[in-house]
Amino acid sequence: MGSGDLSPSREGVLGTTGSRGRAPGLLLTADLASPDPPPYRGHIDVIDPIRGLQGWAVNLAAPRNPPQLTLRVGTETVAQITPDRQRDDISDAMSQRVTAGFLFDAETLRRAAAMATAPGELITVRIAGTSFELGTGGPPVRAADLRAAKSLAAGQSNSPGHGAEISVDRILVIPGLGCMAEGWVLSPQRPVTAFRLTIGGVTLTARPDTLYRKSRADLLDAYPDAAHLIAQAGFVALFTGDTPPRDTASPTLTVVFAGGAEASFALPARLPRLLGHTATASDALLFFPALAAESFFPRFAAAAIEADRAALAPPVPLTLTQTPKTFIQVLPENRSDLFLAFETIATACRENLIDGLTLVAATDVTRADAPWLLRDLRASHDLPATMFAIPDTGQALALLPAILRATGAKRFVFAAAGLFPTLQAHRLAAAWLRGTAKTPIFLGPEPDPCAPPDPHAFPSSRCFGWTAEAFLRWSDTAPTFLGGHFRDNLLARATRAPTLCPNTVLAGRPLAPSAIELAVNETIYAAAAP
Amino acid sequence: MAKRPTVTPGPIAIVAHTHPAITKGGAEIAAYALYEGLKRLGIETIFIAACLAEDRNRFRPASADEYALITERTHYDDFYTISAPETTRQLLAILAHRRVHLVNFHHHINIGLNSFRALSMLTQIPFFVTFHEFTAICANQGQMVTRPARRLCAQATPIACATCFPERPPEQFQLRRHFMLNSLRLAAGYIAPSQFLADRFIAWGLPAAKFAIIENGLRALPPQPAPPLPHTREKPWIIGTFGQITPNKGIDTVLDALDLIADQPALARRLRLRIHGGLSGQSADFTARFETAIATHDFATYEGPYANDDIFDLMAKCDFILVPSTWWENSPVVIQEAFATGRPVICTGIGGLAEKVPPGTAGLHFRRNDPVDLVRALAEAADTRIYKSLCAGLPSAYDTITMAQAYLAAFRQGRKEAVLF
Repeated sequence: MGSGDLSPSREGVLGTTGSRGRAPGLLLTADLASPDPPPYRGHIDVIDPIRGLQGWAVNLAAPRNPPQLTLRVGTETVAQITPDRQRDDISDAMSQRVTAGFLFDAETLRRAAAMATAPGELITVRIAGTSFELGTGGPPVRAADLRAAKSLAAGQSNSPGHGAEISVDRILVIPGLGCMAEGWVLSPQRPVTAFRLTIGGVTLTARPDTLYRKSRADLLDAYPDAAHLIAQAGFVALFTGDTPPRDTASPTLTVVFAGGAEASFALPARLPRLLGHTATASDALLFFPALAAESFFPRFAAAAIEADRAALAPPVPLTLTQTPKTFIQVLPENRSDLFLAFETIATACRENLIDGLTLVAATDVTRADAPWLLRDLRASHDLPATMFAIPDTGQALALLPAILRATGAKRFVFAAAGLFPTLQAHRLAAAWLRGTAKTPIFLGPEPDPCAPPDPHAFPSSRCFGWTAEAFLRWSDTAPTFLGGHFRDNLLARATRAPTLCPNTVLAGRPLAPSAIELAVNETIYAAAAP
Repeated sequence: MAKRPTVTPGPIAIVAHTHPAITKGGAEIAAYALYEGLKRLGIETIFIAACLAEDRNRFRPASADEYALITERTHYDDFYTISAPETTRQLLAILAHRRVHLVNFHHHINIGLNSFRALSMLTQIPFFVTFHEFTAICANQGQMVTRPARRLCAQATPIACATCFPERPPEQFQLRRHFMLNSLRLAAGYIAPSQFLADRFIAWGLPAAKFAIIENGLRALPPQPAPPLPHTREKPWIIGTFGQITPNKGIDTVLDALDLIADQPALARRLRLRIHGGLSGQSADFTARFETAIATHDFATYEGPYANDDIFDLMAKCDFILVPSTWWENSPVVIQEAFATGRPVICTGIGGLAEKVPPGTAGLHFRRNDPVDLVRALAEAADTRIYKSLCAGLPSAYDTITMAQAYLAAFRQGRKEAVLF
């Protein structure tokens, strides 16, 4: 936030810097008295490659109708958005409830910066169809500045010293158990060896065995020359200890560098999220992952996992045909992709590659089209097929045990939403399901973009074939899942529990990502030549 | 599993995304013209047109050789152009019933690329695809103009396309290209009515060797081109526009030009602009602007919609035909109709328009979306010497027989090279 200057910062640009916490009503009154006032007000509060571009905009002539905004680089329109967030400060100033807040996410902003064709091109936000630009309260933002910018993420204003850059994305506090902090640190001179967190007057040290480092490819745009650091820039640290039940005041992160030097880093007061009585058993596992490995606690871990799963809405069978071997396709929620998924399945059916089919559809979007597409597919190919509806296709993996039990499948191949297996992949799947391939298959391409290419290292939960028995055994003690996705990064490392289907535990046949059509990230930026 | 139907030599099927009895677009008219041309050559041919269920009462087959693929708007995805499996079944059933041995698709919308794939996998029937615009490349109605700015687009890339459609991620456009290319590559050959269109598809990834350039034929031609209209110093030059009146077709530019002409009384006295075509379905703002312009400028008149049969008579009453399109176009039928009537064309100097109307030979060009340059071109055209020179340089228009003969040659060539035939 800036100084709160209310004056026009550029011709045709009016806005408040530091609009939060200060009543824009003064500004609106003053501007309305001017001879020919533009009917719009707005401001860009945040613009950085991590948090995206955030701000607010209102149409004074129709405050309840948020104006459409365009994100521009130079004269090119990159994206359009309509404010969809409540902003109490703006509502207070307008004396009525208005939806004024907006966010162009970090990916859109990075894309805009990448599209600039000249170093001096500006990144601006306009009211669509007008020349009214939202101000930033500072100098105009050039795309080149954004690409090279130091992160302005939470608390970045305090440099920890030693040439290091740090950002903390989130802090989770469970009273009496401890805190979890997640963020990134770039320290080109000395490696970081430890973290300390002070919160509510209590100082906790990160447990070395829980300190997990990971790559942060999202920093590449901002730090194009620091790829070697970015590969290990991300951190997740657990600070176990007796955290106070309510007080999260003055959070401070202290970074300890090799050699013993330290630098403290004041965090925004709003950053810690206090779970309090909402903490669950799986939250406890997060802080004490060893619980699952203790001989006298394994059932506790299983219970926590079961509780997580039970909290999800169970899959509802729309049509059920039991089959001992089934290809399980989670249908995409986008309608166009849904049609493509069915066409991909139909192509495999024409090649006689599918003996049994289980589809998992989202209850809202895809449910309207999926049943008739399935009915048609069954009629065309005489296919034993099942369909389940679940609220969120992202939870399909978590609900897979229930789906397998309902279908009675002994062998299965699972393809998560957004995957469109090629005929080659379907041939491998058929080989596994029909028993002509003796080892399970792993098709999921989720490589770490900063890691060297090694397909054997990246079996994942996106697409795999396994026996139901082995999967159910694994899932009883698998890492807990968050939002439908297994926390395989954090907890697998912390508990040394296996990620899904690791080759070291279970021999399999990894498949190159090119076998799956959605593995397009690696080709999307390649030349357009076929 | 469906059995592969046995196909023995039989008729050719021309498959269009709609029937000219239902809509009057250039693609379906060209497809029907080809169907008629092949029949005139004595080739056994059937015509299959996709038809929305709500339009089925408007489907008027002229003979038992015309079929409708009844489709549901709600059972279709227009991003990947995938139709309901039922559409594919209907198509395969008709082809098997009539023992078709070659298919020529004149679009993939409504019919669905899934039908191309099923045809390739389940039968031995080779198929050819005629492109009429850039639908496979561009999701913006195949126009290759950006959205919402409507700037000309030179190359579709996932990133650029996602900029036009921020609601879709780049990955979806990559998938779209992958799916479209994989499906279209199953064809034995491609036909493009303009080299410009073919070049775009070749650059996009289709094999150049499979392309043939064949101009669209006109279903009816006047016995001979009308002679140039006689001109005296007092007689104004008559400029006619023909076709749907929409901003896409550049009428905005024409309206801007009217205001500029009004500022030049000497030029306004020498010009008469006649605007022919339907105005329905346009926004209230556009309609109001159009009507105001016509009411304000006495040198411009709105002639209203016209019957296709009257086109040559109406064009013959004009000196020039104006085609102010703002997108690349392919080979607009209106240009062929102008040439058949013996009238030079004043058009935007881009894409298929520029290719079909050689400047200084068959017409004049002006810059896209530039009313000042349009007025410059109109002023240049209002000259007896230039008019006569352009009238003398007009190319001949294609008829359906010539078109059908060229298609047969392309089919023979494609079949010879097609592995699957």
